[in-house]
Amino acid sequence: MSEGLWITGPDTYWVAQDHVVALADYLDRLRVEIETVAGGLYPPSTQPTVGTLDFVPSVSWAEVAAIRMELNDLAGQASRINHALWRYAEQTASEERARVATFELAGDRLLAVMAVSFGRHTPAGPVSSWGFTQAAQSVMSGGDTVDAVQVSLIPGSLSVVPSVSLAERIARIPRAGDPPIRIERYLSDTGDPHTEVFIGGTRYRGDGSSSEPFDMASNVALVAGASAASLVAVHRAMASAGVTSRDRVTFVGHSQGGLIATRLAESGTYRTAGLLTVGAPVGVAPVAGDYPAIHLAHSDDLVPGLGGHTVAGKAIRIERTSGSSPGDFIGAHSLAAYEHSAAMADVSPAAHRFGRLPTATGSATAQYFVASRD
Amino acid sequence: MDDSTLRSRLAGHATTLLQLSQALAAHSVGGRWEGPARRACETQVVDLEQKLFATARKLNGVASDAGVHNLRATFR
Repeated sequence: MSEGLWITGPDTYWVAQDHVVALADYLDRLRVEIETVAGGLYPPSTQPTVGTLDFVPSVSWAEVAAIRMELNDLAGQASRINHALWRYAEQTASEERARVATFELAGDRLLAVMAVSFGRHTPAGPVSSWGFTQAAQSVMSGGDTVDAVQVSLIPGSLSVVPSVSLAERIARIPRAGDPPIRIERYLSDTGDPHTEVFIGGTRYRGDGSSSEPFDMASNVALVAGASAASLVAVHRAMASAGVTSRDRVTFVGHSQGGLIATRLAESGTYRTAGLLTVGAPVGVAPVAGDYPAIHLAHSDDLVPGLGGHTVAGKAIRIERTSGSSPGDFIGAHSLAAYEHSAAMADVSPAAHRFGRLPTATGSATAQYFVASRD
Repeated sequence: MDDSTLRSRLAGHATTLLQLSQALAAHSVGGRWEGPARRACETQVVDLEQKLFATARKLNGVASDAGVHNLRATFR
């Protein structure tokens, strides 16, 4: 994949590089502009808004009429190229859907069969319906469990102003070693609350035997569509921060945090105003809600692929190679690399296609929460 | 409206077309997309840009013949 950003539109209806999308959109605008100019190239006496002429114009209206006809042809040409570009983008999307159906779905099914062979739980439904979710369910220790988790607010306060760009938001996602949950609750002049929730990734590679909720057991549970200790932890931290159903909430998460962000955004519990995930295994967690949603992923980052085949949803997917050395999977998954990619997305000529995440007003205190299993 | 205003309006349209052609030139079809379809598209974009520029120039010529709004320098 070349440098540049690849964008997948909602429902995987089109896939194209950002500059191609920008060109297609510009051609559409160009057509309108050319038609507008052509519409203004009539003798004033034929334009009711201009009025009649009280002088003999020195311009050659025959020449102007010829130019007008040329412009109408050019508008048609702009329109044809625009359609050709979108046909290309739709064709690419069609190839992408075929690739998912041929390889990713088949891979998920094979994984599910293997997982069920070794797992403790046989999913409902015929084998032909099994996928990544069923694979994750089968290796869980017994389906949904209620996770007992405690969260604690870290003392101290950090005054913040609202983040605007994608890169600014990613810069606020907790890094490894930081408390995994950061919440900023803004109150506008009219008292309308807007909350931004930033969720970090996996903290512990173990299986749930430790007190760390952001572990591999939570990863598996989240992919299985079940409750997870880390999910419960964020939910409780939000309650502890005073987030109510009145709050407009923007969820931002990296890796496991991105999957949690998606699950919470789609839960119906909150007034979701936006969603941004980076390097998150969100394949089987499609966005169905009516809010701006962006999944940013590196094509050389292995983690997004761990969420199973990509189920089409309303989110915009932005993809690029991370720029890390070949085989540097940690670098490709790092927040630093994603922050760089987000900065590129912020200035992309097709940024208008990403859907603007809402910006809060006022100021807030960033609250950090730690969590542990009981 | 007098003759000068009329020419000024046409010159304004010519400037708009010039800016549109310049903005089009700043866009690119390139990237990973390969094959005849891409090349055809690229050729058409260049063709459109050149025609747009030529038309802008022509319109400016009509407008500036009397020297009311001489934008010729812009088009050189």
